[in-house]
Amino acid sequence: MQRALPHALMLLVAICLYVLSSRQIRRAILAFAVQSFVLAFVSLVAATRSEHPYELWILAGLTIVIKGVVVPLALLRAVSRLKIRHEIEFILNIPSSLLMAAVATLGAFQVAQRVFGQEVATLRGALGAGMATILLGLVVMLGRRKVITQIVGLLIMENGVILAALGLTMGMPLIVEIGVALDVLVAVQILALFAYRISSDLGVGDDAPREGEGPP
Amino acid sequence: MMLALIVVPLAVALLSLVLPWRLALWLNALGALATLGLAGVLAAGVLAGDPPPTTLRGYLRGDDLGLSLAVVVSAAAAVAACIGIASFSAERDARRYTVLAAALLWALLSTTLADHLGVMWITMELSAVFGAFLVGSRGDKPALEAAFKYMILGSVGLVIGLLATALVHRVGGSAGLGAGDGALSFLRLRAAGHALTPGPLRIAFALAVAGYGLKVGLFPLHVWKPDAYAAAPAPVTALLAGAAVAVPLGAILRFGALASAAGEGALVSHAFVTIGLGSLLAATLLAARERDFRRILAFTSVEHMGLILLACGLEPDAVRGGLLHLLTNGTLKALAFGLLGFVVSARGSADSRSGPGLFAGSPALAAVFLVTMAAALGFPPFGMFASELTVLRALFAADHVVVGLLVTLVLAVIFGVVIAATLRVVFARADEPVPRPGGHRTAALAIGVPVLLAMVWVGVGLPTELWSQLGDVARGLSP
Repeated sequence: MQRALPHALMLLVAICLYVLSSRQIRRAILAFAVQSFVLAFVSLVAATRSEHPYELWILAGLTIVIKGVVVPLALLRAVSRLKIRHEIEFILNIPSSLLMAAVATLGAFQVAQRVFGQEVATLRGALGAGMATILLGLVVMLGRRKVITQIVGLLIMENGVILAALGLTMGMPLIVEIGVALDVLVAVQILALFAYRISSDLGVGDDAPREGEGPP
Repeated sequence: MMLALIVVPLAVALLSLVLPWRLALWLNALGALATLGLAGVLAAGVLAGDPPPTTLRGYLRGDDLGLSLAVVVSAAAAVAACIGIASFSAERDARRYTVLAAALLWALLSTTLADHLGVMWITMELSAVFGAFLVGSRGDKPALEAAFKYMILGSVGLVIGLLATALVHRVGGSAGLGAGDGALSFLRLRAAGHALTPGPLRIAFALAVAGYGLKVGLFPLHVWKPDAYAAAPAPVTALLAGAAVAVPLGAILRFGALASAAGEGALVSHAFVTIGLGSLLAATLLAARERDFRRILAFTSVEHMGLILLACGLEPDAVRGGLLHLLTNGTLKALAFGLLGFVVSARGSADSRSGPGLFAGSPALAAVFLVTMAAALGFPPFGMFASELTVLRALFAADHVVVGLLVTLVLAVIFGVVIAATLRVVFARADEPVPRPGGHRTAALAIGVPVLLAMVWVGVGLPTELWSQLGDVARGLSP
């Protein structure tokens, strides 16, 4: 389990790249689900080294149930209800978003190394991988027009924060982890609801690009 | 009593589910006024030197900053809720508004009083949820799109804020506060002071400014704001612009206080002044381009938040002005946005460059609106004049001449923009008759006059004792 940790971390970042290069929303959602499972695995690895393993078990359970199953299912349902016909629309094309991703990943590992390099890392590489995941999630949000893809980008960012917190302190206090997980659940349901109502009530077949939409 | 401050809005939210809707609207206003009273009494006690009250096992702690913010939030919420009484005529809208507005007030108050930075994050995310529903409550396409934008951009900001929280947790753990909740307690982190490692804390501070700055709507992270404020019903906009923006600003101030405690005061000061000045300048330019009065006011909200942030990055005198400005701006913004709802329904349009004049049809509403806008622009003798003057005086007294001149210039320009728009809205001659004359006269007078009188009191009659106590809070916050 311990030896698998670097592979798991690489997988977490690789999944972001897969989402970035994927042309289909369903695949992006499934990739996010897989990423959540891998994240749960990383928190189980952390549990073997922690003084409070049960907190990390709960975190792993929450991650699997909420972000591995419930949220992806809700998003898939939203996609089919929205009858999204087109594939993902890009603001940035794939090569340039992958280039941005490469820069972001290297930068994230550099910063993690420089800021916390001297101290003993409890989970080596998890902070760097977490920060890379956050930045890649941001690239997904910036580079895509579809509402659902933006939600996936947001969720990837959130996974990155949880991973970075594991790398920093073996996870945040339990009350925070539970609160964050529940908030994510609620926020995604609401975003999906808005996305649905924006397109369906008004007779628009799918979440067509909207003027002025998107992060700044 | 501290617990009551949290329980009252929660109880109002739950009762509003079952009560007749007209009663629920009144209860909402009474509840907000009750929280204002409670927050006022508690804040007065703590400012006078009482130990900060704690509740819920120390997760909530009413320190001076928290309770001052609670006063700001509940004052604006009370104004918004009173406007709400006169704004709804259908049961479905009224019930949704009362339940969500009370729940939002509950989340906002919990956020301001949270000592635990993780709990603060959770309640702020909850307030984003309630806020998004309120923004989208009109249900048409612009409202839903504004709500989506509000929610998704707010969530991005909160994710960044969560990373900042995780970094602080690490820093606190390294400073010997343990791996649990202690390492996220604002009180204990601040007391640890120089034991906090500056490097990671600098990054945490920068992330907090970016993340929570998105929630405040500081330039260039303000893009959700004009849309949301124009799309939401007037009492909701009043609540968001008056109360909700003060809360993430408080979070930024808390992260700034932590960085200052670790000896990074210079960085905090530079960041606050630069971002504050940027917001002031950009908001002025952007406001001048707008036609919709609600969007113009939204940009003045960006501008005033910038002014407050700028003031909080400087000497204690400026911080004191900034804190007072938070109160006066919050209350007057809530009143202005609330009255604007009446104005829009009386004129049939929010456009400031066309449409009928307000004065011809509803002279009383026009008068109250005109005086409110004057107060919100910093005319004496209202509170905003006092707070702006305090900030400017502090700027010049501490030899920040360039910044002071820039701020004065910007305030003058935005004054011109807004007063021109106001005068057009009030006195424009139009060929077509005013659609609904005399609307909301009683409500505008009954809400506007007391609030404006209270603002006169803040402007000219603030007790010197309170003034010097505010100075003590400011000394604790000044980087």
